[in-house]
Amino acid sequence: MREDKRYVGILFLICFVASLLVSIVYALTYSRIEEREKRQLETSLETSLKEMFPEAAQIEELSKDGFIYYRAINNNDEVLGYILICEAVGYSSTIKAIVSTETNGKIKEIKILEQNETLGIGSKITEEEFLSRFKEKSKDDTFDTITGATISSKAIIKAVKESLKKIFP
Amino acid sequence: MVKNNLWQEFSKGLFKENPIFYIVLGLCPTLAITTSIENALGMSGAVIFVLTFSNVVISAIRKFVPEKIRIPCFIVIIASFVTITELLMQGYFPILVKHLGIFLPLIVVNCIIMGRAEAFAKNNKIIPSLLDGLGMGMGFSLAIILIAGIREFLGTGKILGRIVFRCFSPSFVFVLPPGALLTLGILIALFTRIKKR
Repeated sequence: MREDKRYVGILFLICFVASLLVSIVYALTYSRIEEREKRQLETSLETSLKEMFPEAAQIEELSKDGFIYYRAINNNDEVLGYILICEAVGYSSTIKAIVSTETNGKIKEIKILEQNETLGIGSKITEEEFLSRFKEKSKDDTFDTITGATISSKAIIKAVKESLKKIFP
Repeated sequence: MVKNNLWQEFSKGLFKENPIFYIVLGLCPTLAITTSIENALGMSGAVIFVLTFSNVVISAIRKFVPEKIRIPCFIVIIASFVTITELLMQGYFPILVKHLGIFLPLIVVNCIIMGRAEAFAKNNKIIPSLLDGLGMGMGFSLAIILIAGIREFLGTGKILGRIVFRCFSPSFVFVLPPGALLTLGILIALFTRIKKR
């Protein structure tokens, strides 16, 4: 009995010290981590926006029914096109893509921002051969999926079409 | 004599008692992440780091922890150690997070860490435990880099993400779970054969 109490005491002590240390470190690093993640997201978005419309003087953030998208404007206040961010549930991960369009809703370019699909199969969605299929197409066109990677490619195609429909109904 | 012993504690993990091929521990992460050499390198860094320091910590408190309740104690200590490392890394070394980030949380469930704590660190002094962790970590790394190299090459035709031969059509099965088991099985068989000689 006395032994048991000693065990409980020691285990409690170890857990207590361990959680105390974790809490202290968490409190010290929490704000730094959050700030860094926010900055990282902003810079990655910013560079993609600039790459897609290098001639744009200004990129505005707009929102329609809660869906956030961006509009690129040049020096003469003419709209160059739109940029939208699509999210799709793929085979083994959430796929995030960024799409730029002409003013008439035709796709200019698509880039995959994040994905963790099966290497060698679903990961083919990041290859130029697949991404170039989106060029010049609009929401009502048909897109070819990748043989062997139907789920991943279908998911991203569907997400792109749905996002396009929100802005160009 | 003492020096020789210390060297042995370090070197045994590399080949003779290789954690994957001989002890056959830590297979879940081995099977899961060896789809590319890049992943294997990330995992290696994380395992070497955590294994070495968890061995040191366990060895340092070995006299304080009673035999009967050692397992929960070790788990709590290793898990908090990994969490603290992860938080510090995210806060102060963002470059490391990019390469090791997703592998650190996986390590908590890597049984090599527990295995070495049980089999070695709880009965040995700090310096031998440190060397044991380092050696075992490196042995683990060599093994997963080898497996990942074979799987990446056969499964995608690439090495470190670069296409090597254009004229050869990769067989996907090697990047899928069955390929992991096949590769590991054949390697263990080869290893045992070489060791027996």
